Amino acid sequence: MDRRAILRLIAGGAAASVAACSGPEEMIHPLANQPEGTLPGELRRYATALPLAGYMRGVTGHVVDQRPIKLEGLAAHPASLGATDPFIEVSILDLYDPQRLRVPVGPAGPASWPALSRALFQRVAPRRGEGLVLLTGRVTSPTQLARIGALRAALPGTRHVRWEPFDDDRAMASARAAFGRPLTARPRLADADVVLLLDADPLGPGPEQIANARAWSERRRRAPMHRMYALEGSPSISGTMADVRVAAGPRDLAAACHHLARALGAGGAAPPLPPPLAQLVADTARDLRGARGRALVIAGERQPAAVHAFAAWANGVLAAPQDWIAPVDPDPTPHREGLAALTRDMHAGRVDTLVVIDANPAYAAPPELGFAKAMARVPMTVVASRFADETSARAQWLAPLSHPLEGWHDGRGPDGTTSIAQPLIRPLYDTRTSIEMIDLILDPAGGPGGYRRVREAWSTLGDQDWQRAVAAGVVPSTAATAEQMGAAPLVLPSLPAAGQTVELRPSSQLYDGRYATNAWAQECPDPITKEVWGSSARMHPDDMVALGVSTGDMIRIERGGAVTLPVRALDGQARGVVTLLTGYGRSDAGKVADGHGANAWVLNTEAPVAIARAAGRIEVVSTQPVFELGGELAKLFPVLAPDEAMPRTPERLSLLPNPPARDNAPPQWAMAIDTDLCIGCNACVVACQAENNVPAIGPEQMAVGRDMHWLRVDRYEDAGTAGFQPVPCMHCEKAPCEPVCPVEASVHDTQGLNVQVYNRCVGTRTCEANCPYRVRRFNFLDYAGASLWGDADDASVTAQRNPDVSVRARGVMEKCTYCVQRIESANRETDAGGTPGPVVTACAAACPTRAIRFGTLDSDNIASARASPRHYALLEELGTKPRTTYLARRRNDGEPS
Amino acid sequence: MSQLFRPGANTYVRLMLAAIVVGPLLLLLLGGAVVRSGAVTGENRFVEQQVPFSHQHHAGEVGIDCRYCHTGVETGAYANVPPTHTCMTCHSQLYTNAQMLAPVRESLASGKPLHWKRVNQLPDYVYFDHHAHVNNGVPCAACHGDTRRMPLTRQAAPLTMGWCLDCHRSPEDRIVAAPREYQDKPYHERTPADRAAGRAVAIRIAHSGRNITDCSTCHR
Repeated sequence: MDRRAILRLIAGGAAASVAACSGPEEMIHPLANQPEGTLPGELRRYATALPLAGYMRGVTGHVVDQRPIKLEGLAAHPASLGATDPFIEVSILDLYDPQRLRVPVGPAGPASWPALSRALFQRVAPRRGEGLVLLTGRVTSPTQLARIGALRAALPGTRHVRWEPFDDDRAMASARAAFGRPLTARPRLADADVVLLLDADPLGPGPEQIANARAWSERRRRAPMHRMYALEGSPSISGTMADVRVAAGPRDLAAACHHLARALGAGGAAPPLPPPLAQLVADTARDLRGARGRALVIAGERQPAAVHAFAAWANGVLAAPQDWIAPVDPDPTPHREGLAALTRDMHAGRVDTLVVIDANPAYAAPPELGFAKAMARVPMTVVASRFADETSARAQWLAPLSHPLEGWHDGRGPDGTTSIAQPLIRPLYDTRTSIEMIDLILDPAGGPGGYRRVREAWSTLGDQDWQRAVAAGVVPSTAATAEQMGAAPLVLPSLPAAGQTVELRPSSQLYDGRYATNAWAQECPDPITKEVWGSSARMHPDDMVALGVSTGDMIRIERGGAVTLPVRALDGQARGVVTLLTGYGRSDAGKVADGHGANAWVLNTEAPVAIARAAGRIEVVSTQPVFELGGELAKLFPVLAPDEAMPRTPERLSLLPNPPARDNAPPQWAMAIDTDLCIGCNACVVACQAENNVPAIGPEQMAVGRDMHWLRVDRYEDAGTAGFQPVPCMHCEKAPCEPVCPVEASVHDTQGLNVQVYNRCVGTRTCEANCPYRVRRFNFLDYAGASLWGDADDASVTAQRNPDVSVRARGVMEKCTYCVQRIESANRETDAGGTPGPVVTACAAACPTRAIRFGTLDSDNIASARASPRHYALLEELGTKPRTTYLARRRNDGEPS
Repeated sequence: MSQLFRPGANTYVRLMLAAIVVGPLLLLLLGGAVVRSGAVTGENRFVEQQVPFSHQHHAGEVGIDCRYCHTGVETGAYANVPPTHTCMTCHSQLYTNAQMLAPVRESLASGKPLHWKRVNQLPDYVYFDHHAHVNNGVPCAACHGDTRRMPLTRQAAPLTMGWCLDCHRSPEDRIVAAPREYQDKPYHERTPADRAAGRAVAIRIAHSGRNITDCSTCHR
C-alpha cells in the first residue's frame, strides 16, 4: 500500500460514512400487557399527597408511562387548594435523585433486609423491647400511629420519641398555660381586615404556606383593602408583603407588646420605643381597635411562649377571626424535651437499640444535647433515610427509605384533613416505606406490606368509599373541629437583655436541611437575598461597620456552638439581630449538599452571643445585584395607593415587525401577573423547571451569571414598600429578539407566541443581547448531559424529564414558551374534534395566591386584568407591546399619597 | 528560451476556472440529492425485526383494520405498537407453536417487552400527533404507504421536514373522506367526496386562523 492508495481509502470511507449518515436506531418496547384503558405516552393525573414535617399536602401527580414527571396541587385538599410550594415541586427530583440510598448497609458492608430484620429482632424481642427507642419526625399518619401502637403492644418496653427541628413547643406551652390544654391556633387570614405580625411569617416557608397565602390573597382581592402590619427582625416574605413594616429585635418587639396591651385597655407602664416603631404601634392599635371581630394578631413560631400568650390574649380581646383546634399531632410531649430526655438516656447507656426513621438529629438537634456523641454510646443504631446524612454516617445500619411517591401512606394536613396517599411508581430501588420499617422490627419476613397496612387501618371504609377517597386524595369530613376558646389571660413578655441576638429561620428552599441534597432546591434563589448554593448571615449595615466587615467577609458567631460563615448587609434587618438560614453546612450528604454555607442549628441554644470577624471571604452567589429602586428605575415596579390608577403611557411607534393580530385570528395567548399578590415563594420558578426540562447548572456556572431558570422573580424595594415581580418571557407582539436572529430561530406564530425553534438555533446569542427584559437563557455548556452528582450514575434523572418538551443541547438558546406544549396539546385536541380543558401554564398552576393569570386575550381573567386601572406593561415606552403584563403593587399604609 | 508551460496549460487553466464555478454548485446539488436520498432519510429501507411481522399477511390477506393494533391513533399523539397481549389474542389460538412466534409467547409469559426497531423515525425535536391528522381525514397510507403490500415493514416516505411541509401547505390534496383513511389505495382512486372533505378541512383551518406551517405546530 502506497501513500496515495491509503489516502483514497480514507476519502472513500469518509464519503461512505457521510452518505450513510442518519439518526441513531430507536427501539420501541411496548408493555407485554397494557393496563386496560391506558395508552403508552399519554399523560395521566393521579391524586396523592406528600408530607412536609409530617403534615400532608395533597398533590396531583402527572404520570407518563408509569412514571411521575411533575407534581401539581390538588384542588380538593385544604393545604394545597390546587397550588404548590417549592418543596412540593422539588420533591419530584428527589424521587430520581442519583444520590438515593439503594440497598441496606450493615456493619460489615452491604446487607439485606432479612439480615437487618433478624439483627433487630434478636436484639429487642428477648428483652420485650426494653431499651428500644423509635425516633421519628412528626407522625400524623393514622396507619403509622397504629403500627407504632402495635409495636408497643408486642414489645412493651418500646419508646417512641418524635422530634422536628422546627417545633411548635412554644405555641403549645402558651396554649397550655392559657387554656389548660395544648391547642393550635389557626388564623383565618381571609376574614381579617387588620393583621399584626409579631415576627410571624405566615406567607413564608412551611406546611401552611399555600393555605395561608391563598387566604391572604383572597382578602387582598376584596375591597375595601386590608392592612397588614409587620414587626420583624429580618426581612421575610410576610414582611415584604406587609403594608407597614418596621424592623424590630426581640427587645423592641417585647416593648411593643407592652404598648399594645396598654392601647387595648390593659393599663400599665410601657418601656420606651424608637420613633418608627412607636408610630407603627400607635397606628396598629388604632386599626385593631377599629376592626374588632376582623382584627388578628399572629405571633411568630419561634417567639417565646409569652409572646404567643400575649397574642392569644389580644385575639381574645379583639374577637379575632381565629379557630383553635386540638393539635393534629397527637404526641403531647414537647419536641425539645423529648429529644433531650432521649439523649440523656443515650449518654447514660440506657438505650440499647435506636431506630431513627426519617429524622436527622445528628445535624439539627440542639447542640447542648450532644446527640452525635450520644449515638456512639448506643450498641445498635439503625437509620432509615432516603439519602446519606450526618445521622446515617454515625449509624451501624443504613436502611434505605422509599420516597413518599413509591408507597402507600396516609396522613393529616395542618387543618386535620386526612389523605390516603397512593403510590405513583413502584420502588426504584430496594427500599421500604416508613410503615414497612416499623413492621420490620417485629416481623423478620417484613410484614404484609404498606398497602395491606393502610387498607387495614381504613377498614371502616367500604371498598367503594376507599376507591373514592384514594381517587380524590382526600377523606371527606376529617378536618379538625374548630373550637372557639374564651378569653385568654393577659401575659406580658419580659424584656430580654439588650445586646446582639441570633435568630434562625427556615430556608425557603432547604427548609430545615432536608432538601439540601436536591439540586433544584439549592439552585432556587432565596426570596429575600436571591442567594443560591449557599447562604450568608444577615446583618444590618451599621452593625457590620461596627464589626469592620463588608458583604462577603467571614464572621464567626458563637452561641453555645460556633459557626464561621460569610455575612451580607441587608437594609431591612433590625439593629443587633443576626439572622441565619437553616439547612446549610451539611456534611456526609453527598456532592450537592456538602460544603455550602454553615450549619445554623449549631447555634440553636440559649447562650451568650459573641460575633467577631474571621479570616477569609466567600462571595455567595446572588442572582440579583440591586434591590433598591430609585429615580428612573422606579418605573420597573410602580407602587400605588389603594385607589390610585396607573398613569397612561402614550403609545410609541415602533418599526419592529409583527403587527397585532387580525380579526379572524386564533385565540391570542397572554399572561397577567399581579405583583400585589405575588409573595415571591418561587414555586413558579421550580414548577417551570420541572415542566420544561430546565437544567440545574451548579454553583460555578451560577457564579458567572448563567442562570438557566426561564422564570425569575425579582424583589424590589422602593421608598418603604417592597414586593416581588416574576418575569417570564414577555412574548412581545413586536419582539426585538425576532428580527435579529440570522437563522430565523426566533419567530412569531399566529397565536401571539414568540417561538424559539431549538433545531434552527446556531447560538449567535444576538436575540439574548437584544432582549430588553433579559429573559433569554443560553446553554453555554451541555447542561442537560452534565452531571451535578459527580461520579454517581445519574441516568435516573432523565426519567423525570417531560417527554413533550425538547431537551436542549449545547449552543442552543431557550426561554419561556408559555408552556407551548400544553397549548399545542389543547390545539391538537380541538383539531381532532375533541374539547380540551383550559390551558394553564405550569407557573400559573403552581402559584399559591393565583397571582399569575394565563389565558387568551378575550378570556375573563386576562381581559379583566387588562381593563384594571392598575394595569401596566414592563418598559412600555420601548414599544415592544408585551403580552405578559402586570398589575401594580398597592400600599395601604394610611398615608395620603 | 524554452516554454515554461506545456501546450495544454491553457486548457488546464480554463478547465480549472470553470470547475471553481461549477464545482461547488455540483457539490451542493450532489449534497442535496444525497441528503434527500433513501440512504440518508431511510426511505424504502426494510428493517429486520425480532419477529418478522408481515403487514401484507395481517392487514392485506387477513384484512385486520389498522386500528385493531394501533389503538392510539384516533385519541392521542402516538399510534402505538401494540402490546404483546394484542398479538396473543389471535396467536393463542392460531399458529400456537410456530417457531417464528416463539419470542411473542416468551414475552407474554415473562412479561418482558418485545424489542421492535423503529421504522418511521422522526427526530426528538419533532412532535407529531396522530389523532389531529387521522381525525381530519389524512389516511394512514399518506405517510406509511401501502402497508397491505409490505411483507416486512419499511419506511414508505422520506419523512423530511420539506415533505411534511408539502402537505401542510396544501392539505386538501391528501385528505380523504371518512372512513376511507384506513382503506387501501386511497390516493389512486380519489373521489369527489374525498375532494369535498379536503376542501372542508382546508376551510376549517382557514377559519381557525392558525397557520399549520407555524414552527410551534410541530416543534417545542
